[in-house]
Amino acid sequence: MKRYAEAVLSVLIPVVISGCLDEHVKTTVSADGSSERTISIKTSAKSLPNGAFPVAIDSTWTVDWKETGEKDTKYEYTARKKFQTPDELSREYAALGDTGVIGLRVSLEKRFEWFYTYLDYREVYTMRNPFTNVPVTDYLTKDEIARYVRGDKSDSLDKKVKLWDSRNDFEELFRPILAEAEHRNDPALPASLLKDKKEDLFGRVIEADSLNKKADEHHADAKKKETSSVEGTVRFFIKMFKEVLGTTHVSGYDTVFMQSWDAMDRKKKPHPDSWSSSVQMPGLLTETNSNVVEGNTITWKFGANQIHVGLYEMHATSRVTNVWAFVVTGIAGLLLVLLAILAAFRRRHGRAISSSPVRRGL
Amino acid sequence: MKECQKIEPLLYLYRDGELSARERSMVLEHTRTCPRCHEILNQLLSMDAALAPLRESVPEFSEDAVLVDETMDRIAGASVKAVEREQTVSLMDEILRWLRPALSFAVLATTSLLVIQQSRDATKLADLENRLRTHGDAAVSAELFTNSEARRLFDIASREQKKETSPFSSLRSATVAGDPMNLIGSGILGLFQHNSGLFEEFARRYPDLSKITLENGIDENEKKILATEGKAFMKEFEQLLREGEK
Repeated sequence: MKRYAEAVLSVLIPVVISGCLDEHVKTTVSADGSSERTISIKTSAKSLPNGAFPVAIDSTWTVDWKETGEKDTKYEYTARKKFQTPDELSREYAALGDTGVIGLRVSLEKRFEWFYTYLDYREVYTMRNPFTNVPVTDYLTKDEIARYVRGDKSDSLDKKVKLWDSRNDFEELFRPILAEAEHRNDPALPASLLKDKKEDLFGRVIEADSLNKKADEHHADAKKKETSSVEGTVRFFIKMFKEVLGTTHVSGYDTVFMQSWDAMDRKKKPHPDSWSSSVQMPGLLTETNSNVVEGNTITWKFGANQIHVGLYEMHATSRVTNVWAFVVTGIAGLLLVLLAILAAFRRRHGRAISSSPVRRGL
Repeated sequence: MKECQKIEPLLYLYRDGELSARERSMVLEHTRTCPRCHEILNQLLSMDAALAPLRESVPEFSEDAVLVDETMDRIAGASVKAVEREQTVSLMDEILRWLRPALSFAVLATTSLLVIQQSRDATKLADLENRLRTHGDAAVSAELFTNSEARRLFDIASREQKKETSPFSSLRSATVAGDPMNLIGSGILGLFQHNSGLFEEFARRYPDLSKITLENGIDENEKKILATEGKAFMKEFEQLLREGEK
């Protein structure tokens, strides 16, 4: 059992490959609605994983590579671009399309409200899960999803997310095998048997995974390496099939399993491990959903695991004072006072004329 | 006397010849008996007789034609100006009639808007400040470092301690013992040397810790800093390493 457990760990790997990369984004918003966005990523090689970053880098961006002098991350990639209007920034990210691993929407809205102009900044990250057989809502409530996305790292939530991930992985492997069984229509291993025993199989995988983790905590990395091969995992699954299904007619299923494994592997794409996004807003910051605020700079930090479960939304609102609006309103008020004085004067003058002896005809 | 009051206005009309025969006889009869009214009538008649030649003579305007024309022009000009002034005044009245309510409405509306904006934003600011006060510190711990940063920190800590076992165990024992110096002495300085950004981040958050100089021993003040900021630092550091270990 221990051996199975060690092997199964390599099956239930994270559904997405993280390159242990951090993406730092800094957006500086000006009072006139223009903005400058700087994206920096530290990497070990002087190249970015293809399609890993939702950055519409074209000739309009100023790209720069520099050496950091650090051991693990030798290079720092920086891309910078200025956007003259709020719409320009929104359009840049709206044009990204839905093909990348990471979905990103950025919007900046300017609301004129006479005395103040309000600037609403919104940025939404999401990771497009390549394995969508089981929706996350089967395992987490909406409230739990929201909590997890906002960074709640409680064990119970973490377990539920991992279970959902495991379930999705399991479905990716199980469904082709079920399809193969239906195709073969072999009475020794009928599809109906697989369907009946599906939950038992999944239970065994989870049990093995749990045991494996415990073992992993007490053993060095060498042990892990020894058992993390694909072949080991295939052997585990085949043996588990035999035990749970009570049949030895599983020949050829190892090939199906390998193909499913490869298909799963192809779906996984590299992406940053974590993000740090800072926005510097003009004027007075009135609203944000971040808990890290320094002056007018708001920072959000989140990991791939969070956006893997749901949308990570960042927003901030600030207001910029329109001094001229105060001046115009003041002048209008003053004018009103002057008019009132003038009207009073005219009334008094009128009375004086009408009550004069000449006006009375004497 | 009552008779006098009744007759006196008739004296002027008598002089002007505008009384009926009956009224004329009344006036004459009264003036015969009333010396005061008689005197008035005499004065009126003598004044009228004195002015009679002047009334009959016609003034010669030919010599002062220019003066007359100028005067007439001035009178005409004054009349036009008076009309214009009257028109201007009525136009101003018209403008004032619309401008005053319009301005009143504009000023009232903008003032109301300002009050609404201020109260709305004040509420939002209070909520934000309250949230930052209650959750800000915890959030900073959770969000200051990314997952990979925590992992990197864990790796560096492991290397620094040159042990195969998790650095977390020794760090935990240092924390439990309540003496952050155990950790500082056992590799955290090396950790900071390898990661200047990390030190800057911690130094920014725990500014008093940088006041401690290990070379000359620890004085009372430094002990106090260690007991407060040192413990808080250790708690956060421990949490980060725990994240990294995961």
